[in-house]
Amino acid sequence: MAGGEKPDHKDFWDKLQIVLQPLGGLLTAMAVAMLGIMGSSAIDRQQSSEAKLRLYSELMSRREESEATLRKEMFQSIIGSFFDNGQASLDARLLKMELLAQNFHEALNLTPLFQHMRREIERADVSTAQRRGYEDRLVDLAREVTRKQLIVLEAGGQRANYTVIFSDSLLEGSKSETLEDAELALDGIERRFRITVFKVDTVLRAARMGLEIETPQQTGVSQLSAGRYAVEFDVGFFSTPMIDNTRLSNDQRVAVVLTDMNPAGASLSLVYFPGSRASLREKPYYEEILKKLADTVPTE
Amino acid sequence: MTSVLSMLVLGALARGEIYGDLRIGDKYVTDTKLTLTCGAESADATTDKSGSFRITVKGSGKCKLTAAYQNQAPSVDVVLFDQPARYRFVLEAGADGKFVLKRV
Repeated sequence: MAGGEKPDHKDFWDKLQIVLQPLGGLLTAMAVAMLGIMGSSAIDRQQSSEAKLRLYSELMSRREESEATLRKEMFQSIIGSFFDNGQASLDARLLKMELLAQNFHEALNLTPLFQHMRREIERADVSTAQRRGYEDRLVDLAREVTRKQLIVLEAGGQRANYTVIFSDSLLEGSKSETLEDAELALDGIERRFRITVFKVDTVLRAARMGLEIETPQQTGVSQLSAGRYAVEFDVGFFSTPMIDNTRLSNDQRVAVVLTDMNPAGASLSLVYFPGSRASLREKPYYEEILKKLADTVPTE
Repeated sequence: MTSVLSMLVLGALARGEIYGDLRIGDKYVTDTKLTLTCGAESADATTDKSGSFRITVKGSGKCKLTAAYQNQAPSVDVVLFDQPARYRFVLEAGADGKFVLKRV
């Protein structure tokens, strides 16, 4: 066999290798190309989504800006004319009050203006029927503002309603009346609220009240915030819950609203809501912001 | 004296209205007769399929609402105002099996 031709030892696998070697190169090249296309398409998609987001936020901030400018001009015009022009009729002043209340009730404490208007109506040289008409218009406006705010606050919080039947002793101011406790929970924090009506004024349709708030020791509530404390305040139709409220721990609020009153009794609502729904002028404390940020950090 | 008399006359002439719903726990109570009594005047209504009701009665001020439920008649005091008032009620069963009508 010496010097003879080597026999062909290539088996099936060797032959397959010869065929597949260039094919493997081709497949590798195709895979790399595919990866490139997919990567570039993903980058394109991300860039497009970022561009859309940028455009959206730009549009939103421009809209906010123009709205703020419009509101600022409107506010300056109304409030300016409210105080400057002493000659304006009561009807015109009431109209301005309506514009102010309907457009800025979330940002402004309107109680002093409402009270000022009430005094002006009392002093005005008009007939009794006209005076009653103006008073009703003012009270209806205040109640409309409160109604709107209650809807917003109730949507993000909890509400309890009460009926208070006036006893002679309560009307005389010789005895207070404590209403049934309301146990409400918001964002996992449970609290107990107790309203005490100290005195009612059925002519001015207002009441002096006390509110006791008890926060039991629980998860998410610091030891300092737990416990019981009480506040005392006046409530009338001119009190608005977004502004006239009691600040609680964990950036929460509670407000008592007088929804109706006549010589027989009153209808009250207690609303327990997150601070984010409170008036635009109210800012959360720094430690509350930090706590919220810490709570929203995703865990690895 | 005149003001008290005029208040009584006005109270008798006025019409009061309440509306709202009736529940037991989270479930709305349907087809239940409610009676609103203001002095000598009274008016009935039945809760609809969503547990809602609306009752108008001659009179205003302090009134009584009674629910006819499972052969019982729990009641609660309400106040009727110049404008229709919304009342949400809940029936709560006591340990003795007696129902209590409460505003929530």
